Amino acid sequence: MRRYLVRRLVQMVPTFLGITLLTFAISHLAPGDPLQLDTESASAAGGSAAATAAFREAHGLNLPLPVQYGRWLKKILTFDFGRSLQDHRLVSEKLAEALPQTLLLALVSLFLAYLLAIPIGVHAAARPHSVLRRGLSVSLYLLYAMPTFWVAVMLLLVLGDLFPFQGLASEGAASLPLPGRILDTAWHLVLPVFCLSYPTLAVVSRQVRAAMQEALAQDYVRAARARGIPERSVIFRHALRNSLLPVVTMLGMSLPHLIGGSVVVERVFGINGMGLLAFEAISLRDYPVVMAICTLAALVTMVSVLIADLLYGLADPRIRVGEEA
Amino acid sequence: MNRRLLLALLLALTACKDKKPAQLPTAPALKPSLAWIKGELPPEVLQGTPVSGGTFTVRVPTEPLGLNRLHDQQVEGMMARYTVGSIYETLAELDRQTHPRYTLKPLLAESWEESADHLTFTIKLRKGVKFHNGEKFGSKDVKATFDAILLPTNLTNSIRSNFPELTVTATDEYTVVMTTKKAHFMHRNNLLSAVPIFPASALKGDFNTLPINRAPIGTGPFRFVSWETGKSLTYLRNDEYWGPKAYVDKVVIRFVKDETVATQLWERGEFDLMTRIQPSVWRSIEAPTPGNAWAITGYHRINFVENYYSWIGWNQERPFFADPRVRRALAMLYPGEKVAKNIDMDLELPTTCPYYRPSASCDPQVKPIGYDPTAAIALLRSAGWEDHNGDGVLDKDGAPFKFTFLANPHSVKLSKLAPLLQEEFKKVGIEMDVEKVDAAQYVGRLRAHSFDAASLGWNNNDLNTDQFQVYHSSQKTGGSNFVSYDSKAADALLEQIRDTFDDEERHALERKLHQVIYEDQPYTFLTNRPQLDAIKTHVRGIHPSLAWYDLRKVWLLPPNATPVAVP
Amino acid sequence: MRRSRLKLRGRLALWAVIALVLTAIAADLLAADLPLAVRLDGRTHWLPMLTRPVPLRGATQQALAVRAEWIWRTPVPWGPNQTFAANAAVRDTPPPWGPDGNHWLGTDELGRDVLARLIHGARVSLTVGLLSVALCVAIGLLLGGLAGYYGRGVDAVISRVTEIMITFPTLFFVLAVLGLLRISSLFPLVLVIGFTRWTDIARLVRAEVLKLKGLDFITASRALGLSDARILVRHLLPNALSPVLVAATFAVASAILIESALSFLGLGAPPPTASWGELLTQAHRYLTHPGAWWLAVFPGMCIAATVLALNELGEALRALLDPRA
Repeated sequence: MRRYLVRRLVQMVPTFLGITLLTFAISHLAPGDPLQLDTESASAAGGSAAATAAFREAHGLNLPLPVQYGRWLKKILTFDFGRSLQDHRLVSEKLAEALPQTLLLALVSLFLAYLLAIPIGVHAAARPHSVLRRGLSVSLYLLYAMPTFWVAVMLLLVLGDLFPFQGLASEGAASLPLPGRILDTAWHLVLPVFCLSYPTLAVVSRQVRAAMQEALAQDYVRAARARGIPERSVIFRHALRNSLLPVVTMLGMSLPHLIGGSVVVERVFGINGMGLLAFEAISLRDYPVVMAICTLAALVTMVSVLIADLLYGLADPRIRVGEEA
Repeated sequence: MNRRLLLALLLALTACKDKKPAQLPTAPALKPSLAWIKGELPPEVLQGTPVSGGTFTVRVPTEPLGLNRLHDQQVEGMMARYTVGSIYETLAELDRQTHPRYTLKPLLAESWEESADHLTFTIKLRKGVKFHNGEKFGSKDVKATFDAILLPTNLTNSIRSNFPELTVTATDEYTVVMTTKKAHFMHRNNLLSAVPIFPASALKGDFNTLPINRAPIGTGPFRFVSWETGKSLTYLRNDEYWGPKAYVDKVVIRFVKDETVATQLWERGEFDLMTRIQPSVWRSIEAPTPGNAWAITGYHRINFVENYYSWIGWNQERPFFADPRVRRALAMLYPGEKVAKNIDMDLELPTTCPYYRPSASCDPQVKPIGYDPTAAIALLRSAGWEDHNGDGVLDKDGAPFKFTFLANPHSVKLSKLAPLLQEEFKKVGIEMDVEKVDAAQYVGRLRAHSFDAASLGWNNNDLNTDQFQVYHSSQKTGGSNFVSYDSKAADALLEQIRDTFDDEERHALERKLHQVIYEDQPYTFLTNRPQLDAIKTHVRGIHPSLAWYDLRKVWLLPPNATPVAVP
Repeated sequence: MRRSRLKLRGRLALWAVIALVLTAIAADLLAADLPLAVRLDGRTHWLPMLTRPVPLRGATQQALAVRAEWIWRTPVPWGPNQTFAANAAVRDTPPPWGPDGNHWLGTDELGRDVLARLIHGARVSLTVGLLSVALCVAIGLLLGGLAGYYGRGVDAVISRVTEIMITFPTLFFVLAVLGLLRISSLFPLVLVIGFTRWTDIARLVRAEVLKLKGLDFITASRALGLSDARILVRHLLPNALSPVLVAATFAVASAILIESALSFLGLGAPPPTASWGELLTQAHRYLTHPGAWWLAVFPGMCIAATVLALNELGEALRALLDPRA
């Protein structure tokens, strides 16, 4: 077990280096300049050579790219993400502002999606002919085909009068008592959480249904039924436990997806999360911010893949981690 | 299921439309007054006896990168307005009462003397002024601020470029002498009214990461309290202010980027001052329906022309655009009326002039080039552009008239022009491709002259504008003459204007320059942008000006007070 | 019972996809600024929207209808780029204009017919979808085949590269690369989507090749002295094609989704290209004051229907080609 873990961790190193190198290369090779001055003011004429040079030197932008990458790597080992090239704030400070918003959104929608997906999937497998099942699976299937950003725009169009348009808290919500603040945030979360959770819900419930169907057809389930064990117990104690396997794997894999893939939802609902931060950093060539977000996303993904694999092993004793996985 | 779901959505949509009138059954159908339609404030806004108190909430469309007005990355036009005048003060200010001449009025300077050769300014500072951190204001602060600007390694180029070879000396605690080697008609305004004075103690350290970049300390009528990233700036009244104190207790500047969201919040009454209203929104609330009652009865509208003009620039290094006849023909192909009616909603003002519209620098005699495709074709033919080979594209010396338009990523309106131009040009046989670049590349491409055609707007918060760096042929490299405009006549005028200190005389030259430039058509001149704002009806003491609003004078009518009778 | 229904759904999906392809191919005949045929001043012009004869330059179908001896109009009498097309002079409000007799699905903010843009948008979506997936399949077959066939070192390197690509946030990569390329055609979009979405196919091919490699006929081929390349190209890859076909069908759907999301974020094809996502961007600007629901509803339905049809087709193909499912 320990040896497996060590090996997996060692394997992460080249992956991590590869990702960061790729990001670094792409963002630095892209044309454009972080010192892009405002276009609206006529007075923002060409840069003065001295100031621009000083700026470049201070941020090491005048060095050859491999050296810059080396310097970045050295700093990252001490968790120093550097400063933004745009507003000169610490990147860590900026991340600390954006990450909680994204995490809240991601965790709530992931939790809700799984909370609903498992019973829906089980029900679908256990009662394949019920009207409820048909209705649910068809509507989930249809929803799944709808692009998130369209659903988001449509929700604003139809329900914009009922729900807040932007952000995760009302102006002045900070002065409310705690329950009021929670309620306020919950109210803001409704639409974006819906947009983020329905694709997961659709995929996971289908997965659960398929796994359950397979499990219910197994000999041991039939044997359990033959022994007169109540249906409820058959489904939940025997079949479900074994069908959770792929679901667990998916859970691990969907966390980074929710963190990295929410730029559209954040944009529509005006949430200042990681997606928007990344989007803006890329378009402004704010290299340190771009690198920090990418590093974070890669780390989260790699760790969750590992956790998913480990959980996979725990959930199914037939798979012994440590052997060829 | 699919169809039913969509039907339900559509029903919900139509229900939304019908719902609003039903909500306000008793509200009378209001007809907005003519002044409201035009965006003029009623006289009672400037009448009555001011009372103190209340919070003044302003919506702004962008969040600044920082609040250091001197920093190149933080100078964006609107940004200066949030802090200069409220938190920071300049030595002198533009007198808002003197629109459209905008003379200077003392602020942190009590008086100043300009030498006869316009090279030396001796400035007497106001005594008894304190910064928000308790420090006394004096000549050391003025010197420190200018030193920060003049230090070549600081990113202060956009403001430093106004002051070539400037030296600033503090002769005593309240006297500053500023000397330049070359006179310039803009120096007085630039030195006195464009530089906010920072406390000397706050300017120590790395200029990029100064604490005051995010938490400014000034001498103004308001002091900075907090900046919630992505949300708002909060200022409180400075009760130790040297001059007449401000009236409102608190100013909240809220960053709401998304126009739809801003409109929603505005409709809910969350802003006392709503800025940058989109033309489509501005027009859509004019219909006298109960659904628009919130705007018609709840707000006064402000339509005020800014010192901003937009243009399409033709890179004159390209063979097709080198010929002024071609540029004139292209101007004739610009569907101005269509754009005015359908995109600008008749709110932007077509212009021919690079100067501020109401000023004496524009020549009213210049006749705008109208939309005239037939004349354009004739003009193109006289310049040698004809479809010789019958492939539907004009050509000359075997080269087809084909170029690329660099779409503006900064402006939704300007980016909308691309498909329109494409369509108009195609009709006469000019092929235009469109290239999209992101914001980090756009200006870089213009500066490198690596484009055929592009559009942009020039903006200035001051009345006076020196057009040298935009139109002088020496400014092709390092300046803002992106289109490589090169005219002996314009160069001579631009040089002469810089040395002309008599306003009347200079305006005459500027009018001449206006004629020359419009004749040459380095740009197709588009429009002046209006500032479309709205204030809640209980806001008093406010009026628009080139220097934005004067927050010192703003006061709020208490909710239960009877409106001031209008004589 | 189940099986036949699945087949029916699959067939419906196939027809839907074929209809979409035909729409894309015939877009110019379905919606154009010039008629299918017109007789004017004693000359008959056939398909003038393709030949662009000089006498018809700048004309519209509406104008020609008055002047011509006879005219055969296109079903949708508007070109996708015809601005302020119908009755701009008599309208008292600026566009977007709602659906009416002239514009069945309304117009966008430049007064361009939404239906015409949707029809031509099908071409963009499909081009991007098919070309980028072709690229995905090419890369996937190559890398997956190599990894599966040679194993060991080659496999380790390719697996690591695949892992990097999976871990790398797709949208992030796309944003960065689009910044690098000049967006004056559809080409960069195709490239970027192709280079990010090949991982699924590569993994599939690798697994399939691994499975087949041990089979007798391959051992026999080797014994016959066939070259590696020949074995791989002639024997192994063709056998892996059916799962790849299924995966590619799903990939087309996902590429179309990515294209529309990118257009929504303003990174789509340059103007005046008609794209479904670009209409949704406009819809986001016209949620209220003035509202333009038709800009959101119709393009969204197009995207959803296309994705649904392709997913259904994928499912049906899987059922057909994979006996286990």
